[in-house]
Parts: sequence; C-alpha cells; structure tokens
Amino acid sequence: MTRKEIKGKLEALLEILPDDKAEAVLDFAEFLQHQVGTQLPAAEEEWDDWDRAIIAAEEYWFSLSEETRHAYIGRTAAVVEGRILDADSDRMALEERVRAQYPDLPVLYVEGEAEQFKPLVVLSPHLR
Amino acid sequence: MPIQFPFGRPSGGEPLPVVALRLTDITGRATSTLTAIVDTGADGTLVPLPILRVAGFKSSRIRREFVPGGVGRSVETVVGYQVTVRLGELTLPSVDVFGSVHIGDVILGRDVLNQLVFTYDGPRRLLDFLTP
Repeated sequence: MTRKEIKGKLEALLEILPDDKAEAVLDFAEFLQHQVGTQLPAAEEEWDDWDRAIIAAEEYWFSLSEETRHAYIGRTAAVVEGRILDADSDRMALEERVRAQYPDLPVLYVEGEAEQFKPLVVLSPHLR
Repeated sequence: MPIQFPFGRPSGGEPLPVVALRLTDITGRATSTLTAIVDTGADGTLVPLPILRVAGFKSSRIRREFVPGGVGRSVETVVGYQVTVRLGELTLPSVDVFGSVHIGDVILGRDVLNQLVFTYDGPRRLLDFLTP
C-alpha cells in the first residue's frame, strides 16, 4: 500500500469514526511516533577487537551444555573462545593468576551460575 | 565518621542525590573523579562508555541488556567491566559496571548500594555514608 493510499483510508476512517475513537487513532499514531523517536543507535559500533574477543568467549561459554557450565557453580571460570583456561572460587586470585600467565589475552571471567543477557533495568533512566 | 555528599544539580526541579567516586581496574588504571547518580531504581551500575575507554579499561564480563523502565525494552546490549569503586574511604572491589553509549551520567545502582549503609537526608540535601 502506498502512503497516499494509507492517507486516503485513514481520512475515510476518520470521517466515520466517533470523536473519541478518532482521538484514539491520533493517540496511537503519536505513540508510534514516540517509538520511532526513541529508537537508539546500536552500541555494537563502539565495540573494539578486545570486546569482540570477550563476546566470542561469552558465546563459547553459553554454547557449552548446562551440565558443563553448572560444574562451575560456586566458581569463576576464565574463558577464551574455544577453551576454559582456569577456574577458582576466588575471582581476584584467578584473575591475577591468569593475567600473569596471559598478560595480553582478552579473557572472560564468568560464574558457573551466570545467565546470558540478564536484563539490567533502570527505572529512572537518564538517556542522552 | 560518615562520608557526606551534598546533593547535585536539580533534575525535574528536585536536587539529585549524587556521590563522587573513582573507578580503578586490576592493572591500576583509573578514571578521574566522577559524579554518580545514586539510583535505587537501577539493578546495576552503568558508566558512559567513553569514560571507560579514556581510562583504558578492558571488558572482561558477560553482557547484559539495558532496559530503561520508561521504555520497557532493551535499548542496548552493554559490555561488562570488573572494577574497584572508590568512594571516599570506602573501597568496593570486584564490582561489575557496564559501558553504555546512551547515558550521560554514571548511575550507581543497587549492586553497589546494597553493600553500603547510608542516610538520605532530603531536608539537608545530604547523603551520609557510614564507614566500617
């Protein structure tokens, strides 16, 4: 349907709708306009090679079976894409040990009980 | 001795509770002193991504979906960083913060606030944090 056809159909509908229903159409159109206006640019463009390596490690970790991941409950695993390097219940000790061994390697630190893409809700956001 | 932080600039006509803090990472990299909004309505702590970049921090934690309450859906997948939060004499190690391109202020969420004891003194426009 072309925009001209949509406009014509909307005008015809508005002619026959009672005032309160016509206002409801306007409200919905404004809601859609607001939605379009609040669509934000993707953050992915800001990620660098290090971030992408961490994301690849995250995807590897969550591709493992639940049974495998749950074997690490109570511990933090140090993960790179395709490999679990080490694990420890003391996250700081683990990070120091791994960093000493692989100083320039992007390593993901993830708990055995972690959920992927957990929402981080901010009830009163201060968006740009 | 409590650590006191006066409220900051108004938002919507009302002064905002804020604190001054610094973030450091395991390698000793650090941000400058930042002003953070104390937000009990935030599940976690968010930092504008450019601040983390300038400090030279490297991501090392799993991503989360940033869901602003008013929007009701994820607007951004945010990457995690493990840092130490330094708030006056208070030091909180192993805090996960998430870098966002869509926020202009640091938001100090309940992951940090739930580790602290503080008084919200509205009439005096002050936050008083108890130190251990």
